[in-house]
Amino acid sequence: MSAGVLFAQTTARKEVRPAKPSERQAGGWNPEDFAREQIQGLVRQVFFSNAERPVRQVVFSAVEPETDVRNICRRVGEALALETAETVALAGEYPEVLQDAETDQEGTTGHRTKDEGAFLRRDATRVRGNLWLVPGAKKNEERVTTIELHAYLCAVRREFKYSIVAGPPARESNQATAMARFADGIILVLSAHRTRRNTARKIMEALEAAQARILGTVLSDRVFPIPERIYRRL
Amino acid sequence: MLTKFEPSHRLVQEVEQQIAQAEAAIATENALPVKDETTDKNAQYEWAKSELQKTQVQWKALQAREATIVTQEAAYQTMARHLGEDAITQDDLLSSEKAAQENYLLYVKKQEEARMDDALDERGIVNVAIAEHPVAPALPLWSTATVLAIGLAAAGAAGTGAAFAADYLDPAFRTPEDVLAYLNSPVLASLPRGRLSA
Repeated sequence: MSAGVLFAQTTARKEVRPAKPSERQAGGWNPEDFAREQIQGLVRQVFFSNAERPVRQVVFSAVEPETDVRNICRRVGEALALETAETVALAGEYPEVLQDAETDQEGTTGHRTKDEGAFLRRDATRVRGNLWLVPGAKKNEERVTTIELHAYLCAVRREFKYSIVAGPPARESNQATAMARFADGIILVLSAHRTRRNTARKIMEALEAAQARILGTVLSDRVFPIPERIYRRL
Repeated sequence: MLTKFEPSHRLVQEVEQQIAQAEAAIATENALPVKDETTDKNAQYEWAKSELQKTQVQWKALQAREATIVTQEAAYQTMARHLGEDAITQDDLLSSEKAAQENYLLYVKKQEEARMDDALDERGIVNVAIAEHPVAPALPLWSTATVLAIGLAAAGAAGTGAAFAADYLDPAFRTPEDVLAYLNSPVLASLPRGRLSA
């Protein structure tokens, strides 16, 4: 069963703006609540669907370099951590998250529960509860080889039940394709009003040619210039 | 013959009659005397002389006729020359006549037009006349409200058309429907612009 068939029904349902009674009573549409619902829907569709191949490790890759994928990954990780009691890892560089990270009982940061993955045990940071932050595979601004990338993703997979990897922009690097092949799937992040259709299609074709599992897309940076009341009448 | 026919047969009688006539003629000739006649005139010479005289007469007549014909030829040549000159003169006269006729017709036409113009002028008739002097309208043809309504409708139509054109020509994704239709891939989330808070 392909990802397109798997998520088509839920996608069609999600294309309507949220309309909570409390928000309607307040007289306004809250984009933050809308984004939260969208993220929660994404988590349910990707990680808790009845797919034949369960998804545990997902790579997020944006088409445009300007798109902030890490923020989306962080939101997805937080939502996923609330949905499950298993460990969730955010793989990537999150300096702003590190400032708010919790410390363990020994007063040090790091995930030290496993024997494998020395660098993960040394550098992993618990953000809150079951949510962990894992540094990216990039070391000292050097280009990561495919073998190192594979080892990195395998280590993350072994250490954590779920992992969300912020990949590089797919338009600029083939590393996203390589990561998608090693992970359980890739989610392509498109930027509304910026990502060109042909560019996205070429990237999709490249991913399909590399036999990467495309779980779906995320359309970010959407604008809603039409007021909610008028929008619902159109 | 007498061995075949009777002596009284008609054929026998006719032959005997012919023989008798022949013997009578021979006897007559034998009875006349022999004469020898001689003349001093040469018949051939006389005939040739007479022929010569007739020929001389004819020659004289022909000479006279030649003189007459020459005279007539000169007269005819003079007449032909005069006719040629007259033909040229006639052509010139015909051309002049044609030109004069055309000029005459043109003059007649012009004269008729002038006469008509004079007649129209005398009766006060001209080709263009002011039927009614223009005046500024007291009220505008279209009211201000109508003009505003038309302008609003035109602006709305133009704006709508421009919006549809921009929407059609925009190569970027805008809605999840665009993504689903173009990439045939599900849209898992649709996030608004702006930094999402933690």
